[in-house]
Amino acid sequence: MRVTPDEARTGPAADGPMRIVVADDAVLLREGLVRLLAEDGHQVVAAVGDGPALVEAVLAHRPDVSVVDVRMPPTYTDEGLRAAISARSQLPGAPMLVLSQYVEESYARDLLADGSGGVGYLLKDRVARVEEFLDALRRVARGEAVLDPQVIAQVLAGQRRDSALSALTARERELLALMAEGHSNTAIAQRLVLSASAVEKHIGNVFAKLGLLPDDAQHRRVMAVLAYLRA
Amino acid sequence: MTESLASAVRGRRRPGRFVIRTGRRTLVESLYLLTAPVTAGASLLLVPAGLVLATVGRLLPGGSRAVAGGLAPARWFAELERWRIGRMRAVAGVRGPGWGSRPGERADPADPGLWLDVAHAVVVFPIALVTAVVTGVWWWVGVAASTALLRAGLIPSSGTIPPETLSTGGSHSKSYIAVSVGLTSPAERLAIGTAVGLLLLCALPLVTRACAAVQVRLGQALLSDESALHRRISGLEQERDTARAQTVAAVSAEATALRRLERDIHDGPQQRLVRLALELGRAQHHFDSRPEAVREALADAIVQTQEALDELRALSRGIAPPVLVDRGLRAAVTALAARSTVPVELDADGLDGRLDPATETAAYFVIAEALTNVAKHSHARWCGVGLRHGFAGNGAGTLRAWVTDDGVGGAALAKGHGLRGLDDRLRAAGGTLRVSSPAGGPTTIIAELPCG
Repeated sequence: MRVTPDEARTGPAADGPMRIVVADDAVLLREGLVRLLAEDGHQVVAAVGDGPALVEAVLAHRPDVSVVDVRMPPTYTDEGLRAAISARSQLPGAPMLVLSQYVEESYARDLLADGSGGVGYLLKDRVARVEEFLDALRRVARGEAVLDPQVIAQVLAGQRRDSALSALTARERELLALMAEGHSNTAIAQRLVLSASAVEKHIGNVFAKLGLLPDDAQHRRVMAVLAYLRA
Repeated sequence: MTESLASAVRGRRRPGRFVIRTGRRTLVESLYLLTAPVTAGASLLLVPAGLVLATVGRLLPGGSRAVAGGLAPARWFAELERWRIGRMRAVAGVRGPGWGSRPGERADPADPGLWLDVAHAVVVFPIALVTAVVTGVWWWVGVAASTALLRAGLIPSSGTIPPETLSTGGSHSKSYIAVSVGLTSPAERLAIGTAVGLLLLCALPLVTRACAAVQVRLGQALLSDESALHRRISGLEQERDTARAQTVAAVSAEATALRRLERDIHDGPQQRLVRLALELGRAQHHFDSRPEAVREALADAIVQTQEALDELRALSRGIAPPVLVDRGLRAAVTALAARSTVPVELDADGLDGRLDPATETAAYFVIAEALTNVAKHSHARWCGVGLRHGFAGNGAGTLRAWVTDDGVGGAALAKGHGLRGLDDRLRAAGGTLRVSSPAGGPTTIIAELPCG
């Protein structure tokens, strides 16, 4: 299931404990997250409060995944996002799940820009759905792309008519949106009430229409999501 | 130009009327010119004296009455001169648009028109003097010379008299020019004198018209509606610039306040609510397996809820303090003083009734921000807060709010400081902020706001 061929990531076992770095300047949330992750059997190797500390911790610990708050000191703007991108440029493919009080499509595009996957971008509130949050974390650790449904909604709202996606049918677009949210083929099949083979066929069509070559299924998923965001 | 052409044409048609009109005009203009030095002399004396009085009034506390009284003569004399010119032109039959008087009742030092009135009062005197002398002498010589024949009793005495000599160069110096024009007979001399006198009288209308024109031009330049219009335009431009600066300040103050509000919401209630959601999620997650974890999560959730409510309360107080809205500035500032960590001595007895909401809000936040600064930066042990009604230089009502402490000082109005935001907020409400904060203290800030 490994996606990108990079040495930095060892990849956690399918259900095993992960080594995690948490970066959030709000102590309140950092503590909550650390406890939540610990209760699920994961090991939080570092909990930091700003961008540079995140980069340092990621390079030092090479965690399975990092949970990063977008807004951190000193600028309180997109510090966390830039730190995550910077960490990934030094340690390509290092999985990052970015959390924010509000989501912006352009931020998601920045995160996915290197095309190597292993990124997630979710509203902070999603941590309340503990199972889904932990599942998303695991997916990101495995190298998938997980985007918040709100980002998807923004993409849908702002879609241009002449984009590459205009060739897709409505059903195919729906399916691509679910892929962007990080759902597996099985989950997509359940949601759309389709057979697994029908889903695979649709996905194949999407890849073909977006011009993605069948070299690496998982990587193509990320590229498809990226194409979706660029639409 | 068309005026004189038209009258010239009419005059050629009816010579009698032309003579009458010209004569009347000359008489009226002469009257105007000969009386001009009187009003000009009076204004030259009284207007500068009034200015001195106004200046002194400006320096003294409570001297606004003296300022207004001192500036009034400039306006009176300008009005008088405007009236004189108007009358003269009306009686002399000169048509053209009237000037009217200037808008505005009060003599306001900020009105550039007032200074033009003053300039007119100073400049007009020498000109009036010269035109009056020229007119007077012209009349005198003209009338005297042309009536010489009558005064001599119509019968010229015979005999010879020494020749009339016009000389220049002075009688004591050795070089001078003397021209003898002869005229050794009294009859000849009388005839020539009468002729010169009549010539002068004929030219008199031209002289008075020229002299009056000089005065009218001066009046037009300094007193007329046209220049009043220019002044009005520049006045409006000034108002517009002030309004624009006020808008910029308001936008900047609002942007700063909104940004801070967003930060406060993000750092406060939003974090609490996320944490609350997280704890509830945890409780749900462990519901069947670990009751003790559920209990802990729920207890934490209650704490987070309480904290979120407290923070929201503080935030809403920061946006529009309920006590300020309900009970007014004095009650709100009393509440602020009671909450302050540094002991506050409040002096707000002079304040009664409700003020304009914008004024109340601006004053409240200035005091709130200043008290926050006192608590955070000043290391003060005492702090004084005051509110009082006052009057601005132009007599309009103001609200003065001040905060002073015995702290370390060093507060600055420079960009990036908290006080800058206060300054913007005040300017948006049409007010001003003064800060005195030498290193070592004490710090005093005074806000002046317009009210009703």
